[in-house]
Amino acid sequence: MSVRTANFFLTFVDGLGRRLLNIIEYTANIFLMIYLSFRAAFFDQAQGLRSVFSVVSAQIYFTGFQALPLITVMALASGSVVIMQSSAQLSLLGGADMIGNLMVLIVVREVGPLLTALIVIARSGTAVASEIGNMKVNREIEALESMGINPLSYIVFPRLLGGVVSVLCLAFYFTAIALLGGFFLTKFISGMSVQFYFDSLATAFAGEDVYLFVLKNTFSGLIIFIICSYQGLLVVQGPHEVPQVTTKAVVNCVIYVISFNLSVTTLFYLNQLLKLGVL
Amino acid sequence: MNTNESFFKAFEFQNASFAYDNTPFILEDVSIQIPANKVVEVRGWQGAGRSSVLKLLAGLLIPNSGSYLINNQRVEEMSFEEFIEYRLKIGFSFEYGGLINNKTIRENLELPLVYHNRFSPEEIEVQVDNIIEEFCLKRDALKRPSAISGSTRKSAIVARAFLMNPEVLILDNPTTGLNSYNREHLRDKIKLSREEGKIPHIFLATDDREFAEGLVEEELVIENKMLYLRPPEIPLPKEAAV
Repeated sequence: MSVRTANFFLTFVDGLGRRLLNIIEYTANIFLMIYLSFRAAFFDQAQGLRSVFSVVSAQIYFTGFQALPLITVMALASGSVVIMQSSAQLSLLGGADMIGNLMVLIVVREVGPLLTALIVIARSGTAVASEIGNMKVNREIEALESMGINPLSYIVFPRLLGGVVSVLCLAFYFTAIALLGGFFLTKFISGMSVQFYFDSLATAFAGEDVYLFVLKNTFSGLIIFIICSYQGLLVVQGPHEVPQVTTKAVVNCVIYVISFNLSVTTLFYLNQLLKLGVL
Repeated sequence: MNTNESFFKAFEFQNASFAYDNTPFILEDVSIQIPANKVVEVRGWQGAGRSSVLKLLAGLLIPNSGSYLINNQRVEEMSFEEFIEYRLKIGFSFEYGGLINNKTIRENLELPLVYHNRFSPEEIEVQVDNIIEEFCLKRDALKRPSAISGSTRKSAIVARAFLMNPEVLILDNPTTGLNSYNREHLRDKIKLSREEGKIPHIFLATDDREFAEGLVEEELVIENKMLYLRPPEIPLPKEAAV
């Protein structure tokens, strides 16, 4: 191995190690901020619930309620596409009665949580990161501290709480619209009977779908709003940093949410395989 | 003036150094006892770090090394919750910014009172009404900061510092952009508060010599990254802007 190749290899390994350490540090900071914001919210004796609930309700209104039209369109589109494509393929293979299983697998376990998270990142994640970034620039965060208001309990915690509740509700709404709306939208093309479809869905649903659904959406909400709040609070020097932290917040949210969903799905199927004795 | 009842007894820097990230030191190894029960003006060249010193005094910033002590308690060792007892007795007025932009002026003034849950809604309404009346904010009380003039914004920032009945009042350039009526009112209010013993400790930085004249009892001067005290009579050299 020539010196040049060795140098290149060492620089590569060094860069990789540095990147890995940065990711570990960032993830640790995110967890620390979740802990600190919950701690601040529950241990701040001075805090009146009235002021915090107003922020939580505003967050739920903005993240949850105002996102309904977009979620409806996305849910109808994805539900219809999945039903149309899969019912045609299943009929060819002689497994038309598996449509419920396929819908639960695709919509409830995977597409619902993921698409909801992506929509929330695009709509509310960006808003939270830029709002907090601008608050930092305008010295609003400092002003809160000067009034004895902990930004972690007044700014971060209500956004986390409102965000998690919104993501859970939106994902439930998405799933319901995708399963029902998608079916009724394609009923005339697929020719499937209502009774047949609902029977198939009822057979396919299991308790573990609920666990998986709640787990994925709760953590997606937590990840999105903590990362966006964290990035917003990183603004130090001025307004030019706000779009930079917002972009970074979106990128990091997408990476973390996808990685989390992928990990949960992988662990779930490994567990299934273990139960079946395959592994 | 009755000063026996004040919660704050002493303010002190012990070998304190302070700098923002990647910038030169504003203070370096400063040890000084700041006089309590006085109106102290922080003076220095423009950019010397007067706002930073005021924020250090308020506990909004902490020294990079060394200590800042209030009542012989190290501020840097206190958590947010532990410091809250001190914080709620300190009124701070920022030089600029500091109003919550998605709240009206009235909501901005109500915020600390509502958040800390120490007053009933009726008491909060009376207190806020009074301060709105005092600082002539009635016309713009239901507008957001972006919809009002700079002068009104400044009045609201100064007015907010007086809510929660502070024992320490910290004013960073309080008269910049303030209209003449509120400027005079602020001066009178400070004098009256001092006479009545309501606000025993006042720290301020100002470019308005007329405002400071007759009000300031001691000067805390920033020079060569150090702090020293002197009586207010001595003017700074002409080239020093303040």
